[in-house]
Amino acid sequence: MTVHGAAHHPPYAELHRFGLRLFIASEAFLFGVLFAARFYLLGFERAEAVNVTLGVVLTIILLTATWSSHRAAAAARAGDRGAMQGQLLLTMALGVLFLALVVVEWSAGFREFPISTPYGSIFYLITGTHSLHLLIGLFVLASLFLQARRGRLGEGDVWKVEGGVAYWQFVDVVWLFVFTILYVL
Amino acid sequence: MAVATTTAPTASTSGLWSWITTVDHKRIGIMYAVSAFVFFLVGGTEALLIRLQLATPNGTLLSADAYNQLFTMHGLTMVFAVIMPIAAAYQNYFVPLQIGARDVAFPRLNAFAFWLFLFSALFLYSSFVVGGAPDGAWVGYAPLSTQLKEFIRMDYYAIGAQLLGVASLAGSVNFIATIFTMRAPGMTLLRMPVFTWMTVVTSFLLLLSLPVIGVGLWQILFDRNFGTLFYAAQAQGDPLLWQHLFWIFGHPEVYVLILPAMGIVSEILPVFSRKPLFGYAFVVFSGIAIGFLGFGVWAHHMFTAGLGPVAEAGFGLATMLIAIPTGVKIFNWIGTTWGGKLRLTTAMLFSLGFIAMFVIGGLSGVTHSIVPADTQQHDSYYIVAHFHYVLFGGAVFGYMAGIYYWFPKWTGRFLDEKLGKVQFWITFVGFNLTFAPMHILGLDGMPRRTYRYPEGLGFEFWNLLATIGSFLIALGVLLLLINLVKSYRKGAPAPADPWDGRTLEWTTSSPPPVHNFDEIPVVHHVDDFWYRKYGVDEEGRAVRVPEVTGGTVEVEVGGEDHGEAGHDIHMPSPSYFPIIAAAGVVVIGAGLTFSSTPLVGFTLLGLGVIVTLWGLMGWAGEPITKEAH
Amino acid sequence: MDLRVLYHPGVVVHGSRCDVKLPRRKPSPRRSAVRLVLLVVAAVALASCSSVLPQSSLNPKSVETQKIDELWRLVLGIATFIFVAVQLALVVSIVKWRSREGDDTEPRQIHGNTRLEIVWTLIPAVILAVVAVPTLRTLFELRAPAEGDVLRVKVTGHQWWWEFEYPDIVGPDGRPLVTANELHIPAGKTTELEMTSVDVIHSFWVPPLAGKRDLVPGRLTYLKLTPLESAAGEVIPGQCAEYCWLGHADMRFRVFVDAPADFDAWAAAQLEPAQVPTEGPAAAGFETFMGTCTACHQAKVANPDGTVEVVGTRIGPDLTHFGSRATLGAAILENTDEHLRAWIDDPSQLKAMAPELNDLQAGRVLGMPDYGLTPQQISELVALLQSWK
Repeated sequence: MTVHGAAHHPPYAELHRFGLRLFIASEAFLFGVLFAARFYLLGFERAEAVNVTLGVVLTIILLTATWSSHRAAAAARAGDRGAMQGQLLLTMALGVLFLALVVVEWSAGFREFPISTPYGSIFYLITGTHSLHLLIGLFVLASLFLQARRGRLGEGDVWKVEGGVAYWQFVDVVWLFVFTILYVL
Repeated sequence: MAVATTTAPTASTSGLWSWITTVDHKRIGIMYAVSAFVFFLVGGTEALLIRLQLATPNGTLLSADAYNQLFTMHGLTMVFAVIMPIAAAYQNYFVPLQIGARDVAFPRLNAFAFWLFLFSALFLYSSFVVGGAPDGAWVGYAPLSTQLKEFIRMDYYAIGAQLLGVASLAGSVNFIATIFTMRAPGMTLLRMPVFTWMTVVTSFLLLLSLPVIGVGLWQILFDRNFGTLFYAAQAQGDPLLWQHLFWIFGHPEVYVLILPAMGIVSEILPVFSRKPLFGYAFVVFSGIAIGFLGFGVWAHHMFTAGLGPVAEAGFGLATMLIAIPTGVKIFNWIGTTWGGKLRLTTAMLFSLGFIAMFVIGGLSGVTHSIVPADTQQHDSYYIVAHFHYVLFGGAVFGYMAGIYYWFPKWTGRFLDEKLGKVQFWITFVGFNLTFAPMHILGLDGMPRRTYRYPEGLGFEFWNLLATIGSFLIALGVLLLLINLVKSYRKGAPAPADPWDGRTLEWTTSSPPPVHNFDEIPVVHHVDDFWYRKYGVDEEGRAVRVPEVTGGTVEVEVGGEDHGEAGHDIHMPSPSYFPIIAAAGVVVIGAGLTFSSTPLVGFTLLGLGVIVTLWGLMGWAGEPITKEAH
Repeated sequence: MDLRVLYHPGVVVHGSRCDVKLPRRKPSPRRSAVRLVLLVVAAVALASCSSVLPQSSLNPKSVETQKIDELWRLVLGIATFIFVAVQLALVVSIVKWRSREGDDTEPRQIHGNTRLEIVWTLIPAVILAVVAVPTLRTLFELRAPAEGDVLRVKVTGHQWWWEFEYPDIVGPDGRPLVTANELHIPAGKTTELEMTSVDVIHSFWVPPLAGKRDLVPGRLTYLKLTPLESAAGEVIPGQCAEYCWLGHADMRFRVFVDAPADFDAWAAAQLEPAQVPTEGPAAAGFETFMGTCTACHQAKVANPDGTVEVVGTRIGPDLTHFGSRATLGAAILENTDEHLRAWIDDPSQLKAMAPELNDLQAGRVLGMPDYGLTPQQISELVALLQSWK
């Protein structure tokens, strides 16, 4: 990049961080509307058959994954590529475990509160949308991991890891709300 | 005067492939404009068929079924495939130029947004050959939209609108990031052109309202295909939930359609009045206020739905409030012309026409806030009249003004002014002939979305008049099309600054080089370019500065001049990954549409996921700027 | 046979103030412009004429619509004033400040005027505040629950017809008065409609009598109408105002504003059962009725032995007093033998519907099917139904 360009074009890290924040704001509205729809239609009503224990396990898994993803970003900033890859791998493993448990939960749930019940409609739409976002997060982390392994992530690419991790952590935080309004209330 | 019609310095700049892989915001803008214009012709043809059907009582040209598809698609087309993309066209082309940037923040995301828009709109239209187009009105009210699951028409609606929304969302992120991070030195927020400001407002409106309709459309899709009960009244679902979600999106969406046009008019009026915009800060802040208030008035679309008098009173009052910033804008526009020296070019005529027509649409809008009166107007032809005064007399007039104003910058050639003025008057008369009678029809009791009406209710005369008017509009559009084609090929050559402009897009050649500016301008004022050309005398009158020397920018950049500088500037490289990712996303959407036939559905879904991943992986792995060729 | 959908005012208003004649057609094309102007003037003059614009909101005929109309006229007046003022300012500015040949002077560069901004922010605010007061007052008046001597009617929207049930007008058998597409209400008395829908959203709109109100499945909405005593004897057309698919344009109804005595007489007659005929084509028609029509239609009949029973299924309109109705097919056609014959022969020929998609188990009814009855069967049915006055 030439002098003209550099003076003019902001650093990619800053730009992408800004864009990602906008995207996350939009996503937050998406989940906000889903949560609002839950209370609009059902108030505080909840199906008795919801497996709260499993919900707690899922929450613990994602909180752990939040921590490991945080460690991955820290390792990236410190330039410790090995640690970063390890933490990314751990995070992804926890994510896959989470999705597997969601599948277990759904297959049990379909018997207790099918999708064609009021609570089922809400439950599967919200957890499904969340899982879809988690899957996208997994894809992002996997892409980062592969790039790192091939040595394609240089010093200037820390923002990529930070961005991926920020998105992942956003999805984790959303889960806390999902857990609260579908399992606890 | 050097006329810059040469193309940009890099090698692969022509041919179909260069358009498919382009990440240049100007080319993307042109593609938006061309697509929007084609859809405008399609949506206009639908409107003419509707008007022919209604020309006489008991019309027999169209069946009820055909009519329902046509008016639904007319609405969806005009909103999502014409006005939004034509606004995006101007925003893409001119926002970077107006803020003195070489590029947008996310060029590939920008290309992705365009291709996704185009493919989604084509996908929506493919429904005509696969079982019929959506026929549940553009508002898609549940439970009508979830009633007939054996027809896949409303699945097209749920998916098509969702995909178009994702495209707009991507575009919005790009515009906000561009405007907030890439302005030229000295271009503070309150030195930005009003058009750029309105782009900020509309982008935020989209960013925050599209997720709302997104959830609603998901729920329609799920109710239709996966057995959920969100809108099923018999099982704790609620049809009004959809109306809330739709209008929380839908009302801001109305401002998304009109605000960019207001921005364009706020650019054109000062240029052709040879005076600065009256009350710049008030115009900007009233635009922001309209945006904010736009989120708090959605239920005025539901005054007949039974929300209860307290909610109705609240939303009625909030709706009245919107009249205040809107009025401020209108008064400031008139204030801009007052005491000026008005050059009545076609662009100026359309801008003045915009004000005149928008006043009517605005006033009829205020009558909707009078809740008891609205119960007579709601869902009648009065509403049809109202929003066409806002969206045609307002938005479309504004965008037509933009065409005449900016065409020289796009192409280096003027549109034919004589033909343009004829077009303006024909369009103006035709427009009023079409839509003014609809006020009366509505008040006389004609509901909208009816494919026929009986004799004896007094609807005959006004409907015939409206039909005649609609063909005048069509004639006007035809003249515009002729003008565009003719002028593109052999219009009078336009210099860099054909109108004695005020904003930065006029400092660079017509059309601009691929990197926009040889040197990034440094900004000291609102309307910075004007102050490089003019000072004021002791009476406050504009006086031409004798020699254009101030600043760092040459006023007219010849085509041959930028060769040297151009080679030094690294622009983002072309990429075909955005179009692949966009195609993949639309195929995923098609897969969801066909979920009732699992084999087709899953095949498309799988294919779509693979293609999308391919596009995204390539995109992520590809450097933004490849090494020089 | 002319089967075009036609609205005939049910009652001719005598001594109408609306004797404006439309200009006759003249062959000369030169006069077309003059004719156009005349037509516009005539049409505007007609705007206040109830016999020419029977469905207009500008001809209020109830206490409620008079209030709405008063408010509307106030707002229209203010809006017209603002419209004229703003357009005048714009036109004056264009004429006064347009550039002229040979004038090279530049305008003064004025950037704005804060005092002016404050003024033109405050003026609309004040105007709106002035309008807001009567708006809210009228709103709360119209939405207040009806009190006192009120006639209650339950309105149910169906794709694409209306069912009216009078829960307080009950026969000796305990069955309330049920009718379809023709609402009778007494003049000078408040009727409160309690409305819902069995399928999709509809909207009840009879502009001279009330602003529209939606019929939402799963919810109850209410609407008051108090026809003026001077409206007694009028028949006022209304129609569905919320898009409800194929038959939306043809989902019409009529409101018969009766003098109180006429209303009582009508109600008493409607509570009577229909007679089962014992001879002639109508008797044969009753056989067909019991074999075919009762799948969806209901009727309260008196058998020859004097017993009264309700036959059939309440899916379509109640047919007990079909012959007394002025219209058929949701008020789209005059109730004549000819029209009824055509309707029974193939309903979808007269009105866009989709009976092929009916699913009675799931409660989905999208129109009356063509049962393929013979012409003779149809004639017999017509004889039967028209005898059920």
